[in-house]
Amino acid sequence: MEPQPSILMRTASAWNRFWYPPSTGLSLAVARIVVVGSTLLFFTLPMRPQLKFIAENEQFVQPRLFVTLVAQVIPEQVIRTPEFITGAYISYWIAGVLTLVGLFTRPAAAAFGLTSLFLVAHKGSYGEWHHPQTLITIFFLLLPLADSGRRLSLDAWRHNRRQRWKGFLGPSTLTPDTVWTLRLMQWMIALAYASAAFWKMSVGGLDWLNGYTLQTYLFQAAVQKDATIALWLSGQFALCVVLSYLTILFEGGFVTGMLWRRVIPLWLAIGASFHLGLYFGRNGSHTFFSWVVLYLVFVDFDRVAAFFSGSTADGDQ
Amino acid sequence: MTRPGRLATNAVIVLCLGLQLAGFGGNVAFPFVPYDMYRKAIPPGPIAISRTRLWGTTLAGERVRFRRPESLGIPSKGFRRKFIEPIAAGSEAVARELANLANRDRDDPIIRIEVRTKRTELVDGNIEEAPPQVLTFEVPVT
Repeated sequence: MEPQPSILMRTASAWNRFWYPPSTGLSLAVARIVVVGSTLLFFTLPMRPQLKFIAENEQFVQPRLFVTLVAQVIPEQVIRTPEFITGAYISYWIAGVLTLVGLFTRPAAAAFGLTSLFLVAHKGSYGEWHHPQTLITIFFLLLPLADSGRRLSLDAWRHNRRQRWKGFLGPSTLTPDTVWTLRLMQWMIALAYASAAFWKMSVGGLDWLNGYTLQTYLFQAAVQKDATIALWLSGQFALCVVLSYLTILFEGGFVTGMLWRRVIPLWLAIGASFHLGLYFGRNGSHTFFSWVVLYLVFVDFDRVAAFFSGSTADGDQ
Repeated sequence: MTRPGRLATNAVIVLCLGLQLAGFGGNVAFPFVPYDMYRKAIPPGPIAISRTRLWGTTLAGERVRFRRPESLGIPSKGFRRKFIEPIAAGSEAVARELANLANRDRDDPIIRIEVRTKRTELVDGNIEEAPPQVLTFEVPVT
């Protein structure tokens, strides 16, 4: 009779099965291309306001941790110059394009992650930052830690030139070292939603569900952004009560998808509708796009590719 | 992945999860932040908001709205506290300070600041607006 593995061994085994399942790296490569590409095209912070913040403030208003760390190495007087900020932007763009096409992917992704964090944190050090920027920045910081250039990259093509353009697709052999990045981002998103529910319940309490709260927030959006859907919704008291409960249910319940993965598609569908509603309700907002672009980390592209090619899925996300 | 590499990866996973969870308690380490927007509950009662907008009139007669305070180098929250509220309360000195700040980058200087405060109320699903309160401040061109 074989000895039973200890609880510690079983926990370690479950941990490894969850974080390090085999995959070809296709999902991470697609996430790299779409998230980096859409950020470069649509979500990059403009440089001009950063230069104005430097010009109009004698010091940081509320320095963020990363800026404080950088200031330990580079004097604040140097950081707060147009030349330094312009240099950071040039580095950001060069590193971003290299990460997008997958050339020297790991060092490029490291430079892109650090410059992204610096630019968001620098603006945040003057008190101006928005939530969607933070999750995307975390994704960029994780990218260099896994081999996101293994597939769909110029690096892959360089290593497989004999296969001509097919070399760009990279090897379809399995590796356990790419999915953990995507799983960690899934947890980051789930915990962000849980945090939103937690704050509403801890500050607003059950009164947050009274319908008047959502009516008022919608009315504010309607008036400030001339949003007709938000105006109509703000006049529907009963619907606002129902939507208040659904909001908390969605934000607090999303994390269950991480434990019972079969319900993830349901939460993603609700989440996409939720953000779509916010987008139209508030007459347009980048928030919708940046959240939904990040939903890509939940898609197993090995399975998608297998479905279209009619073969068995190799990966497991 | 080598054993030390796997250990380092595990450490990154635990660190990120820990920081994101720590964000439930407040700001810990940017970009791991609390998602605390829209957290306040609003008690039952009339649903109304007061909206204040700042406009400038230039020497050439163009009307410009102060819409994106970050283009003046001021964060939006600070802009409300530093400019909108004092000007709406009638501070001519702050109105001039705002005009001078905006004029640093303008060839056509702002010579008049106007603040319009409008109370808007939701009544039976319709917007009802009270007549706006308007204050105007002349700014000497230097």
